[in-house]
Amino acid sequence: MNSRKVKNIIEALGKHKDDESIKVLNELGTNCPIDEIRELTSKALIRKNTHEALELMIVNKGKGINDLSARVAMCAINELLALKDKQEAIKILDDTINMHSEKEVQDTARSVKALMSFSS
Amino acid sequence: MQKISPLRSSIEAFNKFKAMRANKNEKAQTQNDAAVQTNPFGITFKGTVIQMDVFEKTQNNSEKTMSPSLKERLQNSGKLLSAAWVGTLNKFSSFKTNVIAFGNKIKDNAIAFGNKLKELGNTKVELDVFKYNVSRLQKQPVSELRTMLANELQGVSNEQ
Repeated sequence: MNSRKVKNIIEALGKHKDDESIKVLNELGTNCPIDEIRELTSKALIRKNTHEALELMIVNKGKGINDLSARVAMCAINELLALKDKQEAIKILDDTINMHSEKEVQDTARSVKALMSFSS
Repeated sequence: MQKISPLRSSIEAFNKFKAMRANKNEKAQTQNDAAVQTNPFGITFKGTVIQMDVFEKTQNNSEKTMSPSLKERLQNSGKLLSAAWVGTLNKFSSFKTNVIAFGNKIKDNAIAFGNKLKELGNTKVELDVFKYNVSRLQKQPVSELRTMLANELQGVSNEQ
């Protein structure tokens, strides 16, 4: 795979100020069947550290920390742990633990929150 | 009666045999000489004289040896010329085959070169070092980035 071009485009979308970039990443990146692409997209979205981007990575089943691929999920969790400002992420995790319909998603959010509280 | 010793008798027998052998050799030599003299280009091969006019009638051969006329000389030179012509034709035919083979090789090489040129023509030479620079991509509109990403992902999925 010629990942350099894809990596650069995803990185550019992650750094882009336009909110439309989140939609593009969600639509093309997180739904991509290739693990590597989903991994890059998760990183880009979490680094944005905006409510919309973090919500996509924490709340949605099969995306971000809830990805079926352990590698992608672990990468997303690592990226969350590496955030300097974790306030927005913890807020979303709390909301997920309290209000999400899926127990599996709640459990994942709880575990990630525990890790984040330990790391900070 | 003279008494003959066995040694003397054997010497005499040997001398007789020697004389007979010398005579035989002389006869053979003279025959060969005569055969070679009839044809100065005659070649001996394992004792057999090969003559140029070996397929000709003996009558004509004898006449020729006796007095070669101008007509016969012309005929002989004609034969030599035709032999030389046949040799030249052979040389030309081999030269022709070589030339044809060389031409075919050149043609094949040219076709292969043409195919390579076509391949090169189809290959895009992209200087995308600058095109896919992150800071440059960041300045582009999201719709354009979306198209680029979709194309790249399509290419990646096709590869796999």
